[in-house]
Amino acid sequence: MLIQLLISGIMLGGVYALTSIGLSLIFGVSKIVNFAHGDFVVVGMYITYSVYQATGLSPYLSWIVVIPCSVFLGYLVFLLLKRTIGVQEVNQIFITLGLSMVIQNVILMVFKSDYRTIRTIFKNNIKIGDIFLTREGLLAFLIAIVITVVFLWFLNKTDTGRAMKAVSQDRSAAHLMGVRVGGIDLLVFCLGIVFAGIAGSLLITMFAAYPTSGGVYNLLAWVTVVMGGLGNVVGALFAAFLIGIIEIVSGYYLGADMRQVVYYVFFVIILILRPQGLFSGIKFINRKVKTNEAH
Amino acid sequence: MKHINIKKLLLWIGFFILLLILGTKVGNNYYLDFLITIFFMASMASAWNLVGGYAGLISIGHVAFLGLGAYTSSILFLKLGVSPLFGIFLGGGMAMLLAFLLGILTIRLRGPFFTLSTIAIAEILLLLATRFVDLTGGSQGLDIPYKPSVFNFVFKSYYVYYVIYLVLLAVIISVVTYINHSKTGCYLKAIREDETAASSLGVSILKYKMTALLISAFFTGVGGSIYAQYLLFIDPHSVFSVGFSTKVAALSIIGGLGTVLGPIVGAFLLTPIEMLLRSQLGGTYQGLYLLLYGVIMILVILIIPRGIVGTLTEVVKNKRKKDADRTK
Repeated sequence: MLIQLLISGIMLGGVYALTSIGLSLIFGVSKIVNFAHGDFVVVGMYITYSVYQATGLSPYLSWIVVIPCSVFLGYLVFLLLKRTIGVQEVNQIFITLGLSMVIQNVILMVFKSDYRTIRTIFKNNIKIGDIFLTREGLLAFLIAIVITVVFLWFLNKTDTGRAMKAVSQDRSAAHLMGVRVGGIDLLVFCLGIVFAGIAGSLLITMFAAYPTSGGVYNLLAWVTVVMGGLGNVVGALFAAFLIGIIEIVSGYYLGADMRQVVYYVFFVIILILRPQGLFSGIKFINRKVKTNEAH
Repeated sequence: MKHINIKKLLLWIGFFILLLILGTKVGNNYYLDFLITIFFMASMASAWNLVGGYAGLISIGHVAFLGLGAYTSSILFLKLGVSPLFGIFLGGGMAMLLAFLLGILTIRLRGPFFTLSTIAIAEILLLLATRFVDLTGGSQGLDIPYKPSVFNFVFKSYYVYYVIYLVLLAVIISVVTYINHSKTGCYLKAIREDETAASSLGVSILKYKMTALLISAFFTGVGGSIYAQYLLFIDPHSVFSVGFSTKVAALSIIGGLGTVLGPIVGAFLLTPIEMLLRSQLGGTYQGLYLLLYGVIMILVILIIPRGIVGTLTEVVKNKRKKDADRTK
């Protein structure tokens, strides 16, 4: 049974990773505090749902709508936040909280407060030995992992990726070296929102969406990012697996309604005892941020 | 507080008495409820402002204190028969205790991380209140029986609630005004402007932030207890919802952070709009008022980050300066 729980947890964690990598990137590179990240995930869920309702397009193909919408949304939001980058952290909190209210209530007005979900597309589950896997879960996990790996490759091997790392380490130095910092900020923000949107389109196949569900995903993404170490994409990936496992195991032993309590408590403890994150020993995208943020 | 401005004090007392009399003239319970809600929101926003505006600790989990206060007085009354007359203060005390524990652990955290820890605490309490059905009635909530008496702190007349909320608001305004003019207030402002500089000049950051947090939590807890006595019903999702905290924060921000009048102006301007929109369009456009809150909050932050009161004070000050320069 325990193996089943662990594997289910890792599967769930894969999708959570996708929600938090976007946040980790935005916070790590541009230092934008985004408290509406969960709502961008939910926007992705609702877009996927609408596309499915209107055309019957598979959630995995609805990306052709989700990605452009996310880029556009990211661009609009970035315009709001542009002036606050690097100077007014508090205002970023307020603006994104306001944004979260706006998104949640636009969704409420358009879709009403009903729970929306896409009925399972696949009929049967996979059985390997004694272990059951849902096809949605497995597919979402694999997609999330592939995207993460491709993104890590992009971050380390391409010029744009290296420019992102440079900006995250030292904005002014990167600027002096000829990196277009403003452009990188915009790119990073849109990319982060796109990751959130894709995560949403994967999540809707497993969980129901409702207007205020953004709050849960927002906290979840932040928990993951803090656990993983700020701006540490690999750390966030492992933290997401850990949270998936904690959620499934505590849900099994304590009851489904308690599954979040355990990792919230865990989160507060980590914030207090290890603000640099659990996985700060693992190589960071950048070392400098770690030492700065540790205080 | 070396010299109290007698004129201002009298003006405030006069205003208070005026509102007391005004309450008796409002015969209609609907309008009384309207005013009560405004007073309640104004007191909560003022209490929040102590932490968010003065101490610079952005707490979005302030409902944790509200809910704890509400549950403390209600559970004590329903299970042990303790009169809410005391329960209200015990509720405030419990909220203070939580604030103390929370503060010791998380007050050192930098900006967004403090905010996250408060959200996590509120969510934890929400889930626990839903879980421990024996104590809290779970998601069904707790009903406080309608037996009007002073001991039960349940009243027939809406006017009594009106007076209670008015007094609560008056007390909070007095406390905030006192702090604003006291040494603590100056230290808090110094910390908010530049924490490192303040601490290097010997200001104990933890002490003053904690003071603000404790006072704010106490009043929020008391407010929560009274809220439970007014509605005679509480459930986890109504008293532990993080959305309520965001709303309260929005009122303060729009009115003006770190000013005495800001949260009150915010509440008196926006709560009526909210209630009108809810009663007129509630069915068709459920979330319209919150959407409006969000939009106004974003616009205020982008255009007048000091809020309505903060910006107006600045404009008046500048004008006076100009006039003074001219007469020279």
